[in-house]
Amino acid sequence: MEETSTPRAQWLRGVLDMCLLALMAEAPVYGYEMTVRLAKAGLDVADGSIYPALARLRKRELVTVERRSGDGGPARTYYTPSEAGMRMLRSSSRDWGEFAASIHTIIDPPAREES
Amino acid sequence: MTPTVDDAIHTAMETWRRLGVEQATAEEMAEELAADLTAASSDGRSVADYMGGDVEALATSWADERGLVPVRRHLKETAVAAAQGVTLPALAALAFWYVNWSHLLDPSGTSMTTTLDGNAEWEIRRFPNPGVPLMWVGLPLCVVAAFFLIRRAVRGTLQHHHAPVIEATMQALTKTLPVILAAAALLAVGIGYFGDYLVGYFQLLFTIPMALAGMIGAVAAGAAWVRNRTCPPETAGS
Repeated sequence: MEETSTPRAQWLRGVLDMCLLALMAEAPVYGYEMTVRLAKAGLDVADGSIYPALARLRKRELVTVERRSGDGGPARTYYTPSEAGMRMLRSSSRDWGEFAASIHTIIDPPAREES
Repeated sequence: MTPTVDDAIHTAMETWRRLGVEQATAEEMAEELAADLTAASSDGRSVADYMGGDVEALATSWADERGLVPVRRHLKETAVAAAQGVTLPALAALAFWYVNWSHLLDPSGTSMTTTLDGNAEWEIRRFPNPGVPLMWVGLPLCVVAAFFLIRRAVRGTLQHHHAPVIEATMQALTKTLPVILAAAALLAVGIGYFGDYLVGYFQLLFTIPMALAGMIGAVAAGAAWVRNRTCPPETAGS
């Protein structure tokens, strides 16, 4: 894969697993659909990096997988968080909220906002 | 040239085959990729748009993250390294044994003198064979040298190959090497006795190469066994 070095790509790399779990928590979803929904949210993963990420989640048994036959085409692989995946999503979401708030206090402190 | 969906799938399958991913699992991943690329294609996105230009790197990373790439345990390399480490000490040990066995340094001897009446008179001069203490000092030194040389050779080889689980292997090898070396020494002694009692006249021609091969083989097999126990095969994916 190409090494993307933009700040957004680097930040996304750190939270991609959490984002994927969040996407599939709503309903079972397949790889391409996740890419599209991430892109709509402004998160570009056009380097195929969701596949290693999904493989990582699968290896850690954080997702369950279901293959559904397409309309005459190849079967799609749908992902759903497992119970452990849901626990991790809740924990990661909480951690991310705290982390983002911490960063916010550094880069955008109240004093600056007032001035 | 922009790769087609078929090109990308072919490249990915070829990569997984080269990495040693099981055929059924590779086909499953290829089907997932084909389904997604087909969906992307129907949205007007090319393969490069969707997953970047380096399909091989993506396929490698995918298989690696899923734990499908078999871990190379380097058993053969470990055995060869241990054999290399023990060769010089084993040769030295045989040399010490030979000096003792052949009485090479032994000043003892016989001389014959003829008396005036024509009789032969034999004088036997017996001295302690210095080869004996030399051997008993030399053999432990060989064992100690073998211990460190084998460890150094095995560690160097595993590091050279960027092998996994090096520290666990080295710790186990450190604990097991005394037993392995004792077994190798016992094997050599056994071969020596076998040569002495059964081979007879050609004892030396039999004992030296066989004892050397036995010691090297025992150490090589022992080191590979230790590596096998500390680095089990890991090919199972989910």
